[in-house]
Amino acid sequence: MTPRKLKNSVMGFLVAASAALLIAVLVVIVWHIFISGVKYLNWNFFTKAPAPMGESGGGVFNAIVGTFLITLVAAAIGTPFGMFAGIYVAEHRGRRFADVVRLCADALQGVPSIVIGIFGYTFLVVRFRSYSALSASVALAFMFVPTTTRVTEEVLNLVPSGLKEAAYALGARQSSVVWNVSIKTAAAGITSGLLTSMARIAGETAPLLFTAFGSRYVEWNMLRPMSALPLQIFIYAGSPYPALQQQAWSAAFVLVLLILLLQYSAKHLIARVLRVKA
Amino acid sequence: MVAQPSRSDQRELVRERIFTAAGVTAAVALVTTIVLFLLELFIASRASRAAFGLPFLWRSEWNPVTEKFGALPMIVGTLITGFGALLISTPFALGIAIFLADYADRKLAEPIKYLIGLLGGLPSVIFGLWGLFVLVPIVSKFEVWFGKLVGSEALVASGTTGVGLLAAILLLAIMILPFSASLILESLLVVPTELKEGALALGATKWDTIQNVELPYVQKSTVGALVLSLGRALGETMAVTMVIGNGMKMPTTLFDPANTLASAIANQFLEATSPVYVGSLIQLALILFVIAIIINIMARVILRRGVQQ
Amino acid sequence: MKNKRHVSILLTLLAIVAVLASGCSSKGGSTTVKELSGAGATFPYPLYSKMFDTYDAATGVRVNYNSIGSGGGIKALTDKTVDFGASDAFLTDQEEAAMGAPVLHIPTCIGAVVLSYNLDGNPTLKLDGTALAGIFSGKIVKWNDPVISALNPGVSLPDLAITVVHRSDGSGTTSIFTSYLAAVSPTWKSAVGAGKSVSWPTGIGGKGNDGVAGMISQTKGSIGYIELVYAVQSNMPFASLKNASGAYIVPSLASSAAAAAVSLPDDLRVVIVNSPGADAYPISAFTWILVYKEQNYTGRTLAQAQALGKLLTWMLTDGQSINEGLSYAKLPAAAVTKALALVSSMTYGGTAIP
Repeated sequence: MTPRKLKNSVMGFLVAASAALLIAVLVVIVWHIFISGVKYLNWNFFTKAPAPMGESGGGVFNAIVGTFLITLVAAAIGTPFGMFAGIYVAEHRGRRFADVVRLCADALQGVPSIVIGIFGYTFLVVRFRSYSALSASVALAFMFVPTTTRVTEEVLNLVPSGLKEAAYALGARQSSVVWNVSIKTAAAGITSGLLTSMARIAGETAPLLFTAFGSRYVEWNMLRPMSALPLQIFIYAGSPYPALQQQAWSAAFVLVLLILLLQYSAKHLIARVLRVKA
Repeated sequence: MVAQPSRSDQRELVRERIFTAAGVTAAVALVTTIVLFLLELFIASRASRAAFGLPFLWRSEWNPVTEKFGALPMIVGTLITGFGALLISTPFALGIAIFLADYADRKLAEPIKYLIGLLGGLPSVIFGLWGLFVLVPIVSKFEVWFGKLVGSEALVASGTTGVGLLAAILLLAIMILPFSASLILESLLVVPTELKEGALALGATKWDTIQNVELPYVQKSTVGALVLSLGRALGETMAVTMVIGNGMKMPTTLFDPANTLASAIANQFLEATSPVYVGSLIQLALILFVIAIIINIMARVILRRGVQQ
Repeated sequence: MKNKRHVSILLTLLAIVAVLASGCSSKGGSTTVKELSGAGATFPYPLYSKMFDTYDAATGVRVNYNSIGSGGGIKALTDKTVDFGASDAFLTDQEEAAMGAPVLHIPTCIGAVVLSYNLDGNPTLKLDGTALAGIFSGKIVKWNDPVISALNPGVSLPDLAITVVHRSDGSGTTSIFTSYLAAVSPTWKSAVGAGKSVSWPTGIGGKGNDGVAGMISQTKGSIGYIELVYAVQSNMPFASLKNASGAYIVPSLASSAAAAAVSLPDDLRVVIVNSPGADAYPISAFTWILVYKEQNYTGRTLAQAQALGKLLTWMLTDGQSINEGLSYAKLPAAAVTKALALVSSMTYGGTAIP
């Protein structure tokens, strides 16, 4: 065997081996989360709030409600900003300010989540003298906007210019062209981007530490402190009671399911709309 | 004579104005946000900046009791965990990207890509949970074994809990792996097939092609991907917080508990009472913010050069 | 294309519902306050969580308490982001100044800080102040050190390194424990001192009483200080300590109650470690709820002040029946009288609260 052929085989083997090792680790992690998580799942877990410390029973209903509300409101706040910023950047390609906006979106995306949490605390919580789910949603919205902007811009750029030119030729104004032609064409991509961003912020903990603060009660009021799944996992993970640690795993399992659901909807939505179009 | 604009025309005009205004508002808001962040962090840390000035960056004492703070232990912790994680994960990221791009067939590649995507989407706190209950005991056993092997009581002592820099580096490496692997894979898939086929036609082996055609082609974008992964690692908070041990002193070995900029804030912010303490933690956030922006810009510059190639 | 519109309509509707829900709840509660928030000490958290649960069932008022450590409670009250703070250490002069207004310290129970450890066979150990000061200052490094063996004849102690576990956060429990060490060891007092956060000569840090308990249970050869209930509920062993009278006392609700049989000042800011009583457990302590004396600040309503007053009164009277079930001692009658007096001294706009 020539040296080159030998190297080829060796490298091929190494590559496969590293892939195998990685896959093994990934599978182990996912499997562990699944196995540990399923153990504690019961009806109480989904429907009850936590029991007083040291007592058994109790669940994470407060955290499920919290994640649900905080994520939705964050998405509701962030979507208009993200979409319109994305539209702006797409429509004004090449202009200096659009580049600046794109740069800022990227910069914001790279900001560590703990810094966002600190900003949420100093800017909102202290100012309004109260921990609240709303301040958590605003903090999460800061993380939601950059990805939405980027997705919107990218998907809008994919719209064939012929479509837009035809619309302009018919006398439509820019806003009409963008809204009725570009956005409608890109809708599937944008929605899927929104859902993916939601999946991402649903799992964030650091921004919630200093804003939502956590609560043992099921809370529907956005202006009060609220719990959320990632927060509850963090708190239970640090507890010395095996029962609570077990609940951390199950809460993690629920969170993963939620994120998978959002990601699946994101992909599924594209597929469905594309099939309709085809 | 020019006709008066009709009702619907007027409505359209208003819609147009609102639409344009919305776009500009959102765009300006984005830019303002970054500036606002910088300003707010700067202002909120004034007590600490006044007390320590620029030397804060290289002071190595972090003592909430005497109220003497310095960022060096956290900066060191951040750099060690970030670069350590990058060092460990890069060969594997390259390996798996090359495997998926060049070796695996469709049926094998798709589930693996899905698995990688799944892991990339896992929240940090869940990695922290796994790290705390699965990885840390393993690391602890290793550290105690290693300490006994080299006959160092100190190492054995600091290794008994398992939390510390080593655990954080390993966990971070696993966390940024899916990210860097998918970025590198993306760039590998863009390599024109004619180039690869040309090389093979000339008698090159598969690995020859990879080494001499593909990898040089994606060099810039790979470096960009790695820089982005580094940025990810440097800003990672929850998982690191849960396994790094919250050490306030400068770590001397990899087995020692330590803190990164992010984990120090996560661990201590809720109880910092004095303005100097709070200000120092916010200064850490400021430093982290600046580092993240610099890395981001570096990555963009590298990636843009890569594309132009 | 319809999907996007549907989704955005859905999002907006949900957001409106959420905001309306919050609007309704907060407006509807303008005359009767249904929620209070507090934060602070982990030391009494098992008691508070049960108390607030019971209070909710009895009155429908929900008290949301976040157990983040005494330091966190003080910070939250200073920032005025909560109705009350909770701390096992009373405010330092600096912290009082930062608050800007007088703060009342209302005790709620007496607890015991125990030394829990992780050794094979869960032996019951006896320790004294000298041994503890030595262990926590890093001078005594092995379990079979002569100092420890001398106190525990008949117990076989392993040749294992001692891992000290202390608090990493600003902790009232630390304050209690270090006050004790400072009281029994002049070297500790000058070298390290007492406070919510000290510069520990050795050891690893855990967050909260629960964090320390967790670390002890996971690390063989470790020793740390936690509140009694955490050790009991996790089935962890703890040491009997030699008290000021020379007897070895097992921490319990009786021995911590005995420690409080001292004369109490009117503002109830008193440290009862190393109490002279014959049956007193040496590391017992009060824990306090902190509230501003003048309740009219940053938009607080009279209703909120009233609700807070009612909660505190309940905690000092009916609520005390919960203490002993969780191994916290009840407040002695003298303390309750003084505490109730403090609660009545709360004012709103300068006048007493009806």
